[in-house]
Amino acid sequence: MTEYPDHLGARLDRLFGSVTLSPEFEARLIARVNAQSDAIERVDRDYRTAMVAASRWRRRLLEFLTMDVAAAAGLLIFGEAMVLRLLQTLPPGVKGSTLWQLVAGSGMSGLLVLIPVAAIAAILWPVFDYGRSPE
Amino acid sequence: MLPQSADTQGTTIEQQIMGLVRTGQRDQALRLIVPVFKRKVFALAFSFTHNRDEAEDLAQEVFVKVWQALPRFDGRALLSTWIYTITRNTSLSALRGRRETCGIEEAVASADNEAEVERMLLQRLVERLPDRQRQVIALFYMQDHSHEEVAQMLDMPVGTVKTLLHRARERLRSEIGND
Repeated sequence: MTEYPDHLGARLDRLFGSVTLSPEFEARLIARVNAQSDAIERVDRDYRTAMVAASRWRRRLLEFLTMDVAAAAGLLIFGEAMVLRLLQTLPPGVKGSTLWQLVAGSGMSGLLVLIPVAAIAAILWPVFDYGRSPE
Repeated sequence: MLPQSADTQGTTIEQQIMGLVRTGQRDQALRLIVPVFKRKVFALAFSFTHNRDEAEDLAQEVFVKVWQALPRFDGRALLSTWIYTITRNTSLSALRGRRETCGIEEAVASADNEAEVERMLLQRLVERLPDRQRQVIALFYMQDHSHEEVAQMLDMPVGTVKTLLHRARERLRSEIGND
Protein backbone atom coordinates (compact mmCIF):
# COMPACT_ATOMS: atom_id res chain seq x y z
CA MET A 1 0.00 0.00 0.00
CA THR A 2 2.92 2.37 0.56
CA GLU A 3 3.64 2.47 -3.18
CA TYR A 4 0.23 4.06 -3.84
CA PRO A 5 1.20 7.75 -3.53
CA ASP A 6 4.23 7.46 -5.82
CA HIS A 7 2.38 5.46 -8.41
CA LEU A 8 -0.95 7.18 -8.16
CA GLY A 9 -0.86 8.36 -11.77
CA ALA A 10 -0.01 4.89 -13.05
CA ARG A 11 -2.75 3.33 -10.95
CA LEU A 12 -5.29 5.86 -12.14
CA ASP A 13 -4.17 5.17 -15.71
CA ARG A 14 -4.77 1.46 -15.15
CA LEU A 15 -8.08 2.08 -13.40
CA PHE A 16 -9.54 4.29 -16.11
CA GLY A 17 -7.68 2.61 -18.96
CA SER A 18 -9.63 -0.55 -18.21
CA VAL A 19 -12.91 1.28 -18.78
CA THR A 20 -13.49 0.72 -22.47
CA LEU A 21 -16.34 0.55 -24.91
CA SER A 22 -17.52 -2.88 -25.96
CA PRO A 23 -16.34 -3.88 -29.46
CA GLU A 24 -19.91 -4.13 -30.74
CA PHE A 25 -20.78 -0.56 -29.68
CA GLU A 26 -20.74 0.84 -33.20
CA ALA A 27 -22.66 -2.05 -34.74
CA ARG A 28 -25.27 -1.82 -31.99
CA LEU A 29 -25.60 1.92 -32.55
CA ILE A 30 -25.96 1.59 -36.32
CA ALA A 31 -28.62 -1.10 -35.82
CA ARG A 32 -30.47 1.17 -33.39
CA VAL A 33 -30.30 4.14 -35.76
CA ASN A 34 -31.41 1.99 -38.69
CA ALA A 35 -34.36 0.73 -36.67
CA GLN A 36 -35.33 4.30 -35.77
CA SER A 37 -34.84 5.40 -39.36
CA ASP A 38 -37.09 2.58 -40.60
CA ALA A 39 -39.71 3.43 -37.97
CA ILE A 40 -39.67 7.11 -38.95
CA GLU A 41 -39.89 6.19 -42.63
CA ARG A 42 -42.80 3.84 -41.91
CA VAL A 43 -44.68 6.47 -39.90
CA ASP A 44 -44.01 9.04 -42.61
CA ARG A 45 -45.21 6.66 -45.33
CA ASP A 46 -48.34 5.77 -43.32
CA TYR A 47 -49.04 9.45 -42.74
CA ARG A 48 -48.70 10.28 -46.44
CA THR A 49 -50.93 7.32 -47.38
CA ALA A 50 -53.54 8.42 -44.84
CA MET A 51 -53.41 12.00 -46.13
CA VAL A 52 -53.85 10.87 -49.74
CA ALA A 53 -56.80 8.68 -48.70
CA ALA A 54 -58.36 11.51 -46.70
CA SER A 55 -57.88 13.91 -49.57
CA ARG A 56 -59.46 11.46 -52.02
CA TRP A 57 -62.35 10.83 -49.64
CA ARG A 58 -62.88 14.57 -49.15
CA ARG A 59 -62.84 15.22 -52.89
CA ARG A 60 -65.44 12.49 -53.43
CA LEU A 61 -67.58 13.86 -50.64
CA LEU A 62 -67.37 17.36 -52.07
CA GLU A 63 -68.24 16.09 -55.55
CA PHE A 64 -71.18 14.22 -54.09
CA LEU A 65 -72.29 17.23 -52.05
CA THR A 66 -71.92 19.52 -55.06
CA MET A 67 -74.12 17.24 -57.14
CA ASP A 68 -76.53 16.87 -54.26
CA VAL A 69 -76.77 20.60 -53.68
CA ALA A 70 -77.08 21.22 -57.43
CA ALA A 71 -79.98 18.80 -57.58
CA ALA A 72 -81.64 20.43 -54.54
CA ALA A 73 -81.14 23.89 -56.05
CA GLY A 74 -82.62 22.71 -59.36
CA LEU A 75 -85.63 21.36 -57.48
CA LEU A 76 -86.00 24.62 -55.55
CA ILE A 77 -85.88 26.67 -58.73
CA PHE A 78 -88.38 24.34 -60.36
CA GLY A 79 -90.58 24.51 -57.24
CA GLU A 80 -90.38 28.27 -57.16
CA ALA A 81 -91.33 28.51 -60.84
CA MET A 82 -94.30 26.25 -60.14
CA VAL A 83 -95.38 28.38 -57.17
CA LEU A 84 -95.11 31.57 -59.22
CA ARG A 85 -97.13 29.98 -62.01
CA LEU A 86 -99.70 28.80 -59.47
CA LEU A 87 -99.94 32.29 -58.00
CA GLN A 88 -100.73 33.66 -61.47
CA THR A 89 -103.69 31.33 -61.73
CA LEU A 90 -105.28 32.38 -58.44
CA PRO A 91 -108.76 33.87 -58.73
CA PRO A 92 -108.92 37.68 -58.58
CA GLY A 93 -110.85 37.40 -55.32
CA VAL A 94 -107.91 35.82 -53.58
CA LYS A 95 -105.45 38.31 -55.03
CA GLY A 96 -107.54 41.16 -53.73
CA SER A 97 -107.92 39.68 -50.24
CA THR A 98 -106.26 41.07 -47.11
CA LEU A 99 -104.18 37.90 -46.71
CA TRP A 100 -102.72 38.27 -50.21
CA GLN A 101 -101.93 41.91 -49.53
CA LEU A 102 -100.12 40.89 -46.31
CA VAL A 103 -98.09 38.17 -48.06
CA ALA A 104 -97.17 40.42 -50.97
CA GLY A 105 -96.33 43.30 -48.62
CA SER A 106 -94.10 41.17 -46.32
CA GLY A 107 -91.60 40.60 -49.11
CA MET A 108 -92.70 37.19 -50.29
CA SER A 109 -91.43 38.00 -53.76
CA GLY A 110 -88.05 39.07 -52.32
CA LEU A 111 -87.80 35.74 -50.47
CA LEU A 112 -88.58 33.86 -53.67
CA VAL A 113 -85.73 35.71 -55.40
CA LEU A 114 -83.32 34.85 -52.57
CA ILE A 115 -83.91 31.11 -52.95
CA PRO A 116 -82.07 30.66 -56.27
CA VAL A 117 -79.28 33.02 -55.09
CA ALA A 118 -78.78 30.87 -51.97
CA ALA A 119 -78.86 27.73 -54.11
CA ILE A 120 -76.16 29.06 -56.44
CA ALA A 121 -74.04 30.11 -53.44
CA ALA A 122 -74.46 26.61 -51.97
CA ILE A 123 -73.33 25.07 -55.27
CA LEU A 124 -70.28 27.28 -55.49
CA TRP A 125 -69.28 27.04 -51.78
CA PRO A 126 -67.46 23.67 -51.96
CA VAL A 127 -65.55 24.79 -55.04
CA PHE A 128 -64.14 27.84 -53.22
CA ASP A 129 -63.75 26.07 -49.90
CA TYR A 130 -61.83 23.15 -51.43
CA GLY A 131 -58.93 25.36 -52.47
CA ARG A 132 -58.59 26.77 -48.93
CA SER A 133 -58.90 23.56 -46.99
CA PRO A 134 -55.69 22.18 -45.37
CA GLU A 135 -54.34 19.05 -47.03
CA MET B 1 -4.30 12.02 -29.42
CA LEU B 2 -2.67 15.47 -29.33
CA PRO B 3 -5.03 18.42 -28.98
CA GLN B 4 -3.73 20.05 -32.18
CA SER B 5 -4.28 16.97 -34.33
CA ALA B 6 -7.69 16.52 -32.74
CA ASP B 7 -8.60 20.08 -33.74
CA THR B 8 -7.33 19.64 -37.28
CA GLN B 9 -9.17 16.37 -37.66
CA GLY B 10 -12.24 17.86 -35.99
CA THR B 11 -12.35 20.78 -38.43
CA THR B 12 -12.07 18.53 -41.46
CA ILE B 13 -14.71 16.18 -40.17
CA GLU B 14 -16.90 19.14 -39.34
CA GLN B 15 -16.74 20.42 -42.92
CA GLN B 16 -17.46 16.96 -44.32
CA ILE B 17 -20.36 16.54 -41.91
CA MET B 18 -21.85 19.93 -42.75
CA GLY B 19 -21.68 18.96 -46.42
CA LEU B 20 -23.49 15.69 -45.74
CA VAL B 21 -26.09 17.37 -43.51
CA ARG B 22 -26.84 19.98 -46.20
CA THR B 23 -27.50 17.22 -48.71
CA GLY B 24 -29.69 15.32 -46.25
CA GLN B 25 -27.23 12.41 -45.76
CA ARG B 26 -27.37 12.25 -41.98
CA ASP B 27 -26.75 8.49 -41.81
CA GLN B 28 -23.44 8.98 -43.59
CA ALA B 29 -22.69 11.98 -41.36
CA LEU B 30 -23.23 9.81 -38.29
CA ARG B 31 -20.89 7.17 -39.67
CA LEU B 32 -18.20 9.85 -39.80
CA ILE B 33 -18.97 11.20 -36.33
CA VAL B 34 -19.10 7.96 -34.35
CA PRO B 35 -15.51 6.72 -34.83
CA VAL B 36 -14.11 10.13 -33.92
CA PHE B 37 -16.30 10.85 -30.92
CA LYS B 38 -17.38 7.49 -29.49
CA ARG B 39 -14.54 7.21 -26.99
CA LYS B 40 -14.87 10.86 -25.89
CA VAL B 41 -18.65 10.68 -25.51
CA PHE B 42 -18.32 7.44 -23.57
CA ALA B 43 -15.62 8.95 -21.31
CA LEU B 44 -17.72 12.03 -20.66
CA ALA B 45 -20.79 9.93 -19.86
CA PHE B 46 -18.63 7.71 -17.63
CA SER B 47 -17.31 10.78 -15.78
CA PHE B 48 -20.93 11.40 -14.74
CA THR B 49 -22.12 7.88 -14.05
CA HIS B 50 -18.95 6.00 -13.05
CA ASN B 51 -20.69 2.94 -14.37
CA ARG B 52 -19.38 1.40 -17.60
CA ASP B 53 -22.61 -0.16 -18.83
CA GLU B 54 -24.66 2.88 -18.04
CA ALA B 55 -22.09 5.13 -19.73
CA GLU B 56 -22.21 2.95 -22.85
CA ASP B 57 -26.01 3.10 -22.94
CA LEU B 58 -25.83 6.85 -22.51
CA ALA B 59 -23.29 7.11 -25.33
CA GLN B 60 -25.70 5.20 -27.56
CA GLU B 61 -28.50 7.54 -26.59
CA VAL B 62 -26.30 10.57 -27.27
CA PHE B 63 -25.47 9.41 -30.79
CA VAL B 64 -29.12 8.70 -31.54
CA LYS B 65 -29.93 12.24 -30.36
CA VAL B 66 -27.09 13.60 -32.49
CA TRP B 67 -28.45 11.70 -35.50
CA GLN B 68 -31.95 13.05 -34.86
CA ALA B 69 -30.74 16.62 -34.37
CA LEU B 70 -28.19 16.68 -37.22
CA PRO B 71 -30.55 18.40 -39.70
CA ARG B 72 -30.81 21.27 -37.19
CA PHE B 73 -27.04 21.56 -36.64
CA ASP B 74 -26.14 24.84 -38.32
CA GLY B 75 -22.39 24.83 -37.67
CA ARG B 76 -22.43 27.98 -35.55
CA ALA B 77 -20.90 26.05 -32.64
CA LEU B 78 -18.10 23.53 -33.04
CA LEU B 79 -19.41 20.05 -33.70
CA SER B 80 -17.46 18.74 -30.71
CA THR B 81 -18.92 21.43 -28.42
CA TRP B 82 -22.41 20.57 -29.66
CA ILE B 83 -21.90 16.84 -29.09
CA TYR B 84 -20.40 17.37 -25.62
CA THR B 85 -23.35 19.58 -24.66
CA ILE B 86 -25.77 16.85 -25.71
CA THR B 87 -23.70 14.33 -23.75
CA ARG B 88 -23.64 16.44 -20.58
CA ASN B 89 -27.38 17.12 -20.76
CA THR B 90 -28.20 13.46 -21.44
CA SER B 91 -25.94 12.32 -18.59
CA LEU B 92 -27.39 14.84 -16.16
CA SER B 93 -30.93 13.77 -17.10
CA ALA B 94 -29.98 10.14 -16.50
CA LEU B 95 -28.42 11.01 -13.14
CA ARG B 96 -31.50 12.87 -11.97
CA GLY B 97 -33.42 10.69 -9.60
CA ARG B 98 -30.65 8.17 -9.13
CA ARG B 99 -27.45 8.34 -7.11
CA GLU B 100 -24.82 5.81 -6.18
CA THR B 101 -25.60 2.44 -7.66
CA CYS B 102 -22.15 0.95 -7.77
CA GLY B 103 -22.12 -1.57 -4.97
CA ILE B 104 -18.36 -1.28 -4.72
CA GLU B 105 -18.24 -2.90 -1.29
CA GLU B 106 -19.64 -6.12 -2.69
CA ALA B 107 -17.25 -5.91 -5.61
CA VAL B 108 -14.26 -5.50 -3.28
CA ALA B 109 -15.42 -8.44 -1.21
CA SER B 110 -15.69 -10.63 -4.28
CA ALA B 111 -12.34 -9.58 -5.81
CA ASP B 112 -10.06 -12.59 -6.05
CA ASN B 113 -6.56 -11.11 -6.16
CA GLU B 114 -4.56 -8.31 -4.55
CA ALA B 115 -4.30 -6.18 -7.70
CA GLU B 116 -8.04 -6.37 -8.16
CA VAL B 117 -8.62 -5.43 -4.51
CA GLU B 118 -6.30 -2.43 -4.84
CA ARG B 119 -8.02 -1.37 -8.02
CA MET B 120 -11.41 -1.59 -6.33
CA LEU B 121 -10.17 0.37 -3.31
CA LEU B 122 -8.79 3.09 -5.55
CA GLN B 123 -12.09 3.16 -7.39
CA ARG B 124 -13.89 3.55 -4.08
CA LEU B 125 -11.63 6.47 -3.14
CA VAL B 126 -12.26 8.10 -6.52
CA GLU B 127 -15.98 7.70 -6.02
CA ARG B 128 -15.72 9.51 -2.69
CA LEU B 129 -14.27 12.59 -4.38
CA PRO B 130 -16.50 15.63 -4.87
CA ASP B 131 -18.44 15.45 -8.16
CA ARG B 132 -16.33 17.89 -10.19
CA GLN B 133 -13.00 16.47 -9.00
CA ARG B 134 -14.22 12.95 -9.78
CA GLN B 135 -15.31 14.00 -13.25
CA VAL B 136 -12.03 15.73 -14.02
CA ILE B 137 -9.87 12.89 -12.80
CA ALA B 138 -11.83 10.29 -14.76
CA LEU B 139 -11.75 12.30 -17.96
CA PHE B 140 -8.09 13.26 -17.59
CA TYR B 141 -6.99 9.64 -17.30
CA MET B 142 -9.40 8.46 -19.98
CA GLN B 143 -8.54 11.26 -22.40
CA ASP B 144 -4.77 10.90 -22.75
CA HIS B 145 -3.92 13.41 -20.02
CA SER B 146 -5.15 16.40 -22.01
CA HIS B 147 -6.21 19.33 -19.82
CA GLU B 148 -7.54 21.19 -22.88
CA GLU B 149 -9.68 18.27 -24.02
CA VAL B 150 -11.12 17.82 -20.52
CA ALA B 151 -11.81 21.57 -20.30
CA GLN B 152 -13.67 21.54 -23.62
CA MET B 153 -15.66 18.44 -22.71
CA LEU B 154 -16.75 19.82 -19.35
CA ASP B 155 -17.12 23.38 -20.64
CA MET B 156 -14.83 24.85 -18.01
CA PRO B 157 -11.56 26.84 -18.10
CA VAL B 158 -8.29 24.90 -18.38
CA GLY B 159 -7.12 26.52 -15.14
CA THR B 160 -10.13 25.15 -13.30
CA VAL B 161 -9.42 21.68 -14.67
CA LYS B 162 -5.82 21.86 -13.45
CA THR B 163 -6.91 23.06 -10.02
CA LEU B 164 -9.56 20.35 -9.66
CA LEU B 165 -7.11 17.71 -10.83
CA HIS B 166 -4.48 18.86 -8.36
CA ARG B 167 -6.99 18.83 -5.49
CA ALA B 168 -8.27 15.42 -6.49
CA ARG B 169 -4.75 13.94 -6.57
CA GLU B 170 -3.88 15.51 -3.25
CA ARG B 171 -7.03 14.15 -1.71
CA LEU B 172 -6.42 10.68 -3.12
CA ARG B 173 -2.83 10.69 -1.85
CA SER B 174 -4.01 11.74 1.56
CA GLU B 175 -6.78 9.12 1.62
CA ILE B 176 -4.40 6.41 0.46
CA GLY B 177 -1.93 7.46 3.15
CA ASN B 178 -4.66 7.10 5.77
CA ASP B 179 -5.88 3.79 4.41
